[in-house]
Amino acid sequence: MAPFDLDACIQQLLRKQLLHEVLLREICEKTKEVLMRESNVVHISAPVTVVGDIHGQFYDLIEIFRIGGYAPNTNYLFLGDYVDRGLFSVETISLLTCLKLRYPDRIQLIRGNHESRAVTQTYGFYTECVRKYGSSHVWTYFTDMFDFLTLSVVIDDRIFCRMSVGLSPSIHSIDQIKVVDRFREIPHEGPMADLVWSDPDPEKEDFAISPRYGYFGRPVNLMVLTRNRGAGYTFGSGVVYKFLDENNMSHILRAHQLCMEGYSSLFDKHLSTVWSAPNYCYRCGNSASILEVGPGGSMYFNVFEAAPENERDGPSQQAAQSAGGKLPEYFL
Amino acid sequence: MSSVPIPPHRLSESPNSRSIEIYDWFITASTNPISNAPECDALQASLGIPLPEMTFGNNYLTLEHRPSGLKYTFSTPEALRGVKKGALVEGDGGVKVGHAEKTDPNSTLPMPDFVTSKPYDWTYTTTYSGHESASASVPEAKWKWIAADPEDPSQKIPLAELSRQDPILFYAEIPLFEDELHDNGSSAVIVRIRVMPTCLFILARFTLRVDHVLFRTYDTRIYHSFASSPPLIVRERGGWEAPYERVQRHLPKRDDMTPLTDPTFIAKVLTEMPKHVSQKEGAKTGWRGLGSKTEIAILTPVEGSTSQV
Repeated sequence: MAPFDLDACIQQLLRKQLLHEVLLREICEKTKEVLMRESNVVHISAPVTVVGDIHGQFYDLIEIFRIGGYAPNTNYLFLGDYVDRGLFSVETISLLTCLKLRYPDRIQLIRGNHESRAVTQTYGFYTECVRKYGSSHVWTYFTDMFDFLTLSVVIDDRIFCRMSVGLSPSIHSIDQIKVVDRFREIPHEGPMADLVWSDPDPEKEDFAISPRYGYFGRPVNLMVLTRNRGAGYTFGSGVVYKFLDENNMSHILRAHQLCMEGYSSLFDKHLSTVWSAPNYCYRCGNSASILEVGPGGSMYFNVFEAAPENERDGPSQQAAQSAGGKLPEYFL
Repeated sequence: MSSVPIPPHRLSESPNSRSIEIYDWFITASTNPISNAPECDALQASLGIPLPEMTFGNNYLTLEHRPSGLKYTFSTPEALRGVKKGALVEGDGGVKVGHAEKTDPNSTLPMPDFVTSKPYDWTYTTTYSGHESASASVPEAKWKWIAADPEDPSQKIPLAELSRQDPILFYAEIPLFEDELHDNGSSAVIVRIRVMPTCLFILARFTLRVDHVLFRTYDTRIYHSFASSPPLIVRERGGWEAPYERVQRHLPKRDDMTPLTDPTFIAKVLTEMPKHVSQKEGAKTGWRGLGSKTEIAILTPVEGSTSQV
């Protein structure tokens, strides 16, 4: 294939026009080569703007560039969950992939739990690829690329960034993350699964068995459960402080936890959550934020609301196109 | 479109709520953003369980029938009060999910000490069917729910009438809560209402998916014909459940799993299964919500009641 013009691709995507399937295959292949060379723990320097979940809300991604600055003038670290749920996962991940390939040192993409084959088959990305391209090829290109995304980023040797915080009973140190074999589908259990799934619990002192994972009632197919539910531990302040101390870090930064305000801080501000999908799923009415980390260690949550374009090209317009005469109002 | 005459009614709207007044009824649906941090803290303290990640704490639907003083409400705090707090026992339908004893069987790292959290039903299963309260003007309102007479067609929900595409005078969809169970599935309650020229109809639906384990639905349907005399409300409630694979088999396309996130698809598959499968055996959790029942309430006017709405 002839060399392609990445800048033209980026301009096309910023106008929300899809790239050709053949072009996407090439772009994903080239991006894999870039990602492959990255460590499981990528070290970067401030200034950098950190972005949480986007979930296919393309117009809100554009809104982020409007308020935070366009690449490469602003450095970006995206924490994951680019696809699923929103209406424009394909446009979103196409644009982010092109930006990564064009500016590999200024754009960092971490793998979220939705950057997975199994999850995208359930939450919309697969269906969207088939609907927009007529086959699942594009889904295959992207999900193959997801296997190469890094797992974590450290800013200025002091802020540890993950999709979800990524502390688990099997991960005590950042060095352990470095040796995980990440080039694969997200497994159901083990350190890699824990890195992608764990959630903090402000009430707990130490690791806790989340009640969500505790044993209740009668056994239901224990083998399946053990295999599929092992992932994800809640953890508390003791673990956070210990992890920061042992790894000589001062802060943990994560995404993946919806909140009305768009950001939150826990454990005496040693752990922050940044949430970047405003009006999540087009119905939560929440604010969103991006976190601007300055060279002097300053941290500023830049809060924003849903982009105005969602009003004219949102779920109601899409529903009208695809309802096929069935009106949801006539429920039974 | 049929030629059903449209009765007089009045619609009103504020930024977060919409109301209709029709015959003796005053109905309000309020939809708002998810609760903010202070609201979540207060609600969590009052409920004693961790809240679902999408808690629409300020959403509600209320129906007021002025002559009888009936006030019927669907609200998020009450829906969550229906979630079992404390250790689960027989009948609660607890879904057992095992955390891995060791996350990595090949890991030689020591496990840290675990602290056990306060138990509650992590699936947020609730059979909440709305709740009643006396309206301020009629503290001694008279109504009670009794079992419907299966032989009496006026005591069941008339699907034929509801299938007719009469004009919808008022429609609202009110999410109460939703949680993704730490990405292990989904649990949600959504209430919908439509007011037609001849009747009002509500569907409050709880839907649970625990990936690779089970699906569960609990439906509450409320129907009132404006022509009923004395005024009558019919309420149908039912719970269904089936193992995950059994529902998955009904996917139209094997690779496309999105219907498994659609409450309407899940309810359709579950309710079309033989009763002994989805309403008796279920997913073998022993959940007491399985089965169906129909009740009615006669709305007797209370003397001296006035329309103070």
